[in-house]
Amino acid sequence: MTAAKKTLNLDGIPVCPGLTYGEARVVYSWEQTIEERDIAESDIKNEITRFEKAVGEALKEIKKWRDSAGRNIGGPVARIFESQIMIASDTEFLKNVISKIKETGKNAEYVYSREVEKTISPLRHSKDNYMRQMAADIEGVSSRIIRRLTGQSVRHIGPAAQDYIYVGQQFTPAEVMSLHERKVKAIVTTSGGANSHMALIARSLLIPTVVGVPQADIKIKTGDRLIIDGDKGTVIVRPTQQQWNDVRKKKARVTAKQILKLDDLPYFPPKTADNIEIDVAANINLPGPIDDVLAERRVGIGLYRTEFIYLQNGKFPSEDKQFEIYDAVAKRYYPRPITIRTFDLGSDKYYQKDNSIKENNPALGWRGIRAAFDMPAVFKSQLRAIMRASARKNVKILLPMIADIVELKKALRIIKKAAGELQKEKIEFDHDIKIGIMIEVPSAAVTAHELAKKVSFFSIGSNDLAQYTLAADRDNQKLAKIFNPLHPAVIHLIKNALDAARENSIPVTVCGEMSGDVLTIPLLIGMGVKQLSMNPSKLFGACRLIPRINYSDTTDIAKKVLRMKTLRQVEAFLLDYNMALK
Amino acid sequence: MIEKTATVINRLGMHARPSAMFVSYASRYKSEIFIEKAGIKVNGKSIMGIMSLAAEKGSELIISANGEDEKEALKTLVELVESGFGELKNL
Repeated sequence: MTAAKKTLNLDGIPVCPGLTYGEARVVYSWEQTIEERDIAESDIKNEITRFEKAVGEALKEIKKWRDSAGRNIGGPVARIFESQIMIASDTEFLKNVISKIKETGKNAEYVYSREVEKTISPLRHSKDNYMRQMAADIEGVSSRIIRRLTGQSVRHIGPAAQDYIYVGQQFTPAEVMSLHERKVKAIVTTSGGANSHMALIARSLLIPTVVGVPQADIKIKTGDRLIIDGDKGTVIVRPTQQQWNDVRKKKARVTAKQILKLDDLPYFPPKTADNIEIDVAANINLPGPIDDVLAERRVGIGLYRTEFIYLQNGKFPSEDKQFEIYDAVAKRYYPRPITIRTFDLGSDKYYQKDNSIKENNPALGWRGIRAAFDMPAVFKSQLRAIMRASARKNVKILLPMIADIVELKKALRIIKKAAGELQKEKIEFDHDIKIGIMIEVPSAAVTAHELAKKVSFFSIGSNDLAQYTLAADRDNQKLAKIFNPLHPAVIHLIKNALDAARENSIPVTVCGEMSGDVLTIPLLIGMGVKQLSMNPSKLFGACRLIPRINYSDTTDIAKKVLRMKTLRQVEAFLLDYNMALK
Repeated sequence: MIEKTATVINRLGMHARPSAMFVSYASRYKSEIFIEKAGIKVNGKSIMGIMSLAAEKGSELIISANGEDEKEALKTLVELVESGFGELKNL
């Protein structure tokens, strides 16, 4: 057996947790030998055009990755690419390069790389992490431009194969995005720290990552089997057959858990660094294998979207059938609370074959509670089914799309009527069942002080609230820069709802995308949100984040954000806070 | 031309985002803007120039402006640096 085949144990800095295994693909460093050439005077003009074209193409590429980051991770992370765009398009710097090309008569890549080196070299030797990070940012951009000039259009990451573990000295944020598209299993690098931009993006995308593994790109060869432990920061290179079989078995047995990575959580519910427990709950659509994992970890359900029961069957199931479904869920999660939201279907989902209710703007149309009022029998049978499942006293009712007090009172009357019927029929249910409303229509957020007097809790649907407040369709890619729940207008509406809730001593849950966004969580906690309910895939990231934040800092964060005037300020501020976390 | 000294107070120093912020503010003015740190002077409208200063927390910067709107420009930019670029202090 040759030395190269020996098992190696390498240590690095854990960046994004998760245990995974796979085949290595080593991406060699992008250091290129840059030729120094003399350009004939008659060709200088062409050389400058060639340079400008390379810059333009690189810019276009970075913008593409910025948009992709915006879609996949969210605005704040996309901001990382904004500073890269600025670096690539620095007019002063480019002018200087062009005049140096004229002056020296040398080729563009040579002149450009020398000028970049002058900028980077003091940063690279700085003791400060953030300064070194800046050197990495500049390198990521400049190497992209240089590659265009030398004819290598992109760094050779290898054929577009999926499911590999990528190993290299360093990856740029754009490269991490591209690896994510290839469903990379894990990332290992020799350089970088836990707070580098690359690390932040890998964490947001939940890619198990270990950085700072000395000589990883030399010790690991393409094709080697690797076992990566993103919690401990360890890499096993060429594991023994026994180790390999063990990790594969472990993975095979717990697929659902692995998706959620809940097994890797230190504890649940999470507590902040200063020991304040944060109520983190899950949003679920349909009962399934995921319930076993969540229930076992005693995760509550902050939002159970019942419309999927309709969508699955293409019709409203009978009261008894619904009762069976809700009761099973309530039993499964007992004693943890579950919040069941009544059908929130739009005309785009109802009776898909029926054109008579076709609308131009389904989001602004006949949906949620509005549709429920028009189908009183359906609505009441669902309310009865939910109440019948509440006998264990762990069920709450949540009403979608309530716009004002009139609608709320009407819904409450129907609930009262359903309760009266059940009582008459001597059917057991929770007589103190808590009833709450979604705050997702701006009119409800504005009049929250009236609404708070009549309900037991609020649940903020940040996506819809943002879409309605900003008049921007959340699914329209062209509006991706406009649609953002962190817009100060949306934050002020949320604050209004929170103030109303506080005055009436009722708790508030946030159940939109915001609650699972690691950049937004500190803000929501600081604003006084009592429960964060999120897509199960976000639980892991949230539970890893919370122990790193100080509850006492979050009030300052909220105060500061509430004074900000632009979305950009809010995003940048939250991004900086996140990056500064230990 | 007028100039003023400002101290970098935000914990992370002039990293990528504050540098970008400085440039976007500076670029709003017609005046020429320069930043000098420890004898090295760079164009205040160039992110590469500012980044090359590696201005960590505590760095003293001499900001200078030259042009028709120099007063306004200098005031804004000094305030930007001294407000810590809107970052949370002491965290």
